[in-house]
Amino acid sequence: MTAFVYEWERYLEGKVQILGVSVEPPEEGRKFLERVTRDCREDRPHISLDPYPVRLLTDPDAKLIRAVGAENEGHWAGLIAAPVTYVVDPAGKVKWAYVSESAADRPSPVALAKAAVSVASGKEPPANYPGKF
Amino acid sequence: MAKLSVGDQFPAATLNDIDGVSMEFPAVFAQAPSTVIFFYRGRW
Repeated sequence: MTAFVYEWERYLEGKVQILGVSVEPPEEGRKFLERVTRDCREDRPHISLDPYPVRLLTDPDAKLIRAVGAENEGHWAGLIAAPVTYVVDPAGKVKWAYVSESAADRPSPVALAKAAVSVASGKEPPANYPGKF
Repeated sequence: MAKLSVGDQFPAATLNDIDGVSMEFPAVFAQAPSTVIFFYRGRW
């Protein structure tokens, strides 16, 4: 998620909203945002982070996580979300998806940004930046 | 493996953000020309 935020200024400002969903309580979400904000300020000080472009949502009962099929019930900490990323159009239709195979497997920030900007322009995501399912 | 795939309609749900503000799915997607939504593990 941190790497994707780096693309915000180049591609996304005003066009794309960014949401993050996990089972974690709000206080953990705030710690996460503080950490990501610090990293971004140190690594990309030219990027304005006011307001911070990511809105974090808490799903303690995994209602939405289960509804999209992203639940991981085998984790030692209990039920958590498996890492999945979607680009969704204003009508709520999924236009691009990346289902990670592991915690280390994340979509390319550039591919994700290009897909998101294409959808914001009313186009299909570019075929040369495919997702993974 | 996620059930939701390209071409599917996003399911309905109501969640709160970390500031306690309620958010309705899929209506929230109408607030921007495009939305990126990450499902993430958390601190683990």
